[in-house]
Amino acid sequence: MKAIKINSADFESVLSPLEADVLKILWPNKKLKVRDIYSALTPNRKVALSSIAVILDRLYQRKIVKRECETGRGGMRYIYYPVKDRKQFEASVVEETVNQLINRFGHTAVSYFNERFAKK
Amino acid sequence: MLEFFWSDLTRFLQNPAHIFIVATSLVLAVLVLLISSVTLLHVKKRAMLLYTHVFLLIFPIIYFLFSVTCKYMFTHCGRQEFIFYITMLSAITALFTGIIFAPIIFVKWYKRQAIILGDSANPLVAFVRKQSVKMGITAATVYVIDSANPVAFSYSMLKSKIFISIGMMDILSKKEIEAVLLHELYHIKHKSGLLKHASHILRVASPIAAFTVPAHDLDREEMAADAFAMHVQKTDKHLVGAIRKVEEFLHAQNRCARDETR
Repeated sequence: MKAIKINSADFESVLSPLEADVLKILWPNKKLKVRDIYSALTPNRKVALSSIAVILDRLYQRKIVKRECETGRGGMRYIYYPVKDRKQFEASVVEETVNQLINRFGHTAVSYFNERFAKK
Repeated sequence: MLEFFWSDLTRFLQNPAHIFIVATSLVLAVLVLLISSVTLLHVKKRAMLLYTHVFLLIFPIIYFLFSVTCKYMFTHCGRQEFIFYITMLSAITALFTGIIFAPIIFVKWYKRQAIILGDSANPLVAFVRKQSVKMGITAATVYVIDSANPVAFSYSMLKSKIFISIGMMDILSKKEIEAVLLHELYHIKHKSGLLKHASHILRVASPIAAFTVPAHDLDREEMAADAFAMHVQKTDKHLVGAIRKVEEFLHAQNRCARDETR
């Protein structure tokens, strides 16, 4: 059985590495354009501007980020910002994971959690 | 069921006058199609010929339905038959009208959701107006579509319009956006949208179209629009950059969709 990897630095169990990097730039509560996020990411990794745009749109479709339209001199742009801060997002990942375990394993999962937290 | 239809059709085809009209319509349809493939014709004329070809193909059906409907209406018998034929006639007429006016409906739908990109204080709007004056066409209104997908298209049947998505503006530089706008302005000047629409209808409605080559006409229009943009900007760098970024977006989108299904 594949273990669920929840690394405190990344969220690769629920997000792709690029999605995780994009979100880390947006936390806490920054409002940024696609180009701003691209500029922040490119020193550390090789990525295309279009890929950032796709990732942000996917995060928007999954309601992890929201976006507004801003009219500027060059036309209109999207401004993206996270729906939840990092702690809230982590809490929602944990909650979703626990719910999935309980849905999948039922009493076995509940019993395990009881024993685990009783020992703690 | 519908036995009356086959007997009406047989009677219809036994009348020499009807056969003459149907045959003439089909021959004219082929002739019009052949004339439309002459490359020297203006794009707008070729589009009109394609619409005429589709109409001439459908005309025998409309003529048949119209004549039997009138027969049942004026002889006051066969109420069921009359209702059947009037329904078929109305449906085909509505379908043909809908297909012809589809671009207008399509553009109105997009307009309702799009935002006009301000006035000439906006550099993109000022650019479109300046280039329109140089090209001798009425300045197109620029509409912005709220979508992350990089799309741009134009419409030139009544008042010219250019639609461009926010996603397109997010990933392209100013010069690359201008290259896209120049490409669309070329289509507006040469009414290429009409040819594109007529070709789409043709492929669906006309079996004879399989033997013609309208597809490469559209490619020629696209290449001419690209060449125009490169000529005005005196370089291909911006247009090539725009095309590359849009393709990268689509590849990234497909890759993400594939990863999700694994």
